[in-house]
Amino acid sequence: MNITIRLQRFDPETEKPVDIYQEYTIEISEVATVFDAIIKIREEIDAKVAMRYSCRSSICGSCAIKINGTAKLGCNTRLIEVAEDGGIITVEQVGNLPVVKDLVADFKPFWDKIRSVTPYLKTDGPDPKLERIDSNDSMSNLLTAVNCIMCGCCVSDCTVLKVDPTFAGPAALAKAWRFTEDPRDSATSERFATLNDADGGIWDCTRCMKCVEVCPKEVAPMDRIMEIREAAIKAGHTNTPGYRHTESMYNSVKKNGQLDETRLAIDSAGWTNIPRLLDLAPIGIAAMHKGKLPPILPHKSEDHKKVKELFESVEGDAE
Amino acid sequence: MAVFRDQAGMESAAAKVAEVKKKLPGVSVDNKGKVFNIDLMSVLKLENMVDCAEAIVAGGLMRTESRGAHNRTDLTERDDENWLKHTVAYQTEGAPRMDTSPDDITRWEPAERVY
Repeated sequence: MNITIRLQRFDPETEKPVDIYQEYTIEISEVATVFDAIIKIREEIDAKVAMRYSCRSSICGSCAIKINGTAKLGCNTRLIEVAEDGGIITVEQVGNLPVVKDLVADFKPFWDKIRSVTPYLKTDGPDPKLERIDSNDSMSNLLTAVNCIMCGCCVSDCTVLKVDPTFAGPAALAKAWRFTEDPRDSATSERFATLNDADGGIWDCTRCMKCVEVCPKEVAPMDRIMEIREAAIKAGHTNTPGYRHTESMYNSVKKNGQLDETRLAIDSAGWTNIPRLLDLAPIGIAAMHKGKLPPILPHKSEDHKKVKELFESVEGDAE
Repeated sequence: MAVFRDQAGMESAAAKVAEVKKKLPGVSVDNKGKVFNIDLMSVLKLENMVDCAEAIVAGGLMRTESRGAHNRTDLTERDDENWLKHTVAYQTEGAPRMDTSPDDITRWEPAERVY
C-alpha cells in the first residue's frame, strides 16, 4: 500500500531547534507496522530520522510513539489499523517527556519517578536460604503490573501529568502497587504513607482512563491506582484531601441526592486547615463574581429520598 | 552460527566473517550529528558484532565435542575429559587468540542433559 508518514522532526543541533513536520511517502506491504515504515524511511529516504527501538516484537518497550495523536508501540501497530491506502499517518514524540531528537524522548523523568516509589522488595528479618516464596495465587495477582514493559505510553497520554508534572504518574504508581500488593513486602505502611502524599500521589489521578486505553500490556495503571487508594484507606491512611473528598462526596450525595460543592471543597481541604481554606477564598470570590458560586446551604434534590434508598439497598442495610 | 553446526559449516562461517571484517575499514557514516546518531551507533555495533562473531566461530571450531547449545553434528558426544573448561578468546590485532580456563565448579555439578 501507499502511505504518507507525517513525521515530527526535532534537531537540537540546528541553530534554532524547531518542531517541524516532514512528509514521507512510501510504498510498503499492508501488513507492515508503523515501525517498519519508519525504518524504511530511514533506509531509503532520510537516514537522519532518529527513533529508539530494539526488539521489534513489543517486549522491549523502546518504540513508544504517538500515532495519530495516541501513544502506541510502533512495532505492534499495523499501518492498516491507523490509515487507509493512500492515507496519512501522523507520527510524533511521546508526550509529557522532554525531546532528545525526532522521535526520541528523554526518559529521565520517567525513571526518576519509577525510582521514587522504591521499586524493590523490602523485607524484615534474616535472608532465607534460597528465595522468598509465596503462594502462586498471590504471585499471579501481581501479573498485571509485572507485565509492564516501561514503554511510557501511559505517561505520554496521562492528562494529569500534562497539567501537573509533579504527579508520580501511571507507570510509577502501577509499579508501586506491585509492591504494596506483594505479601512478602514489609514496608507496605511506609509505602502507603508516601503514596498518600497530597502532592503528586495516588489522589492526583483524575480517573480519565487514558492510561488504561493506551497501555499495550493491559497493566491498567488507573485500576492499580484505585486499588492502592482502597488498600491505603483500609490500612487507616485517611488523613488526606483525597480521602476527605471521597467521603464528602459520598455523604453529600447520600444526604441531599446531589453534590454539595461548597462543602466538598471545605471538607477536602479539612475544616482546620486554615492555609488551604484561605487559598480557596479567592476562588470562591471569583466564582461569586461570575455568578458561579455554589449555594452556601445545600439544596436537596427532589429525588433525594430515592437516592438515599439506593444507597441503603446497595450497602445492604435497607430493611 | 546456529545451535547445530559442523566443521565445514563453521569454516565457511569463518570465511564469511573474515570477508565482512575486511570490508569494515571502508564503512563511513554520513550522518555527523552528535545527538542520538543511529547511523553511528549501528557502525559501532557492527564492529563489535564482527569481533563477537570471530570469537564465536573460532571457539566453535576449537571445541571438538558437543555441549549444550554447541551441538556439532560431526562430533555428537560430550567430552568431559578434554573439554570440561571455559573457552577464552583474547582480542589481538589479527584473529582472536584462543585459550581455555579451568571450570570453577561450585554448587551445581555439570551433568549431561537427557530427556
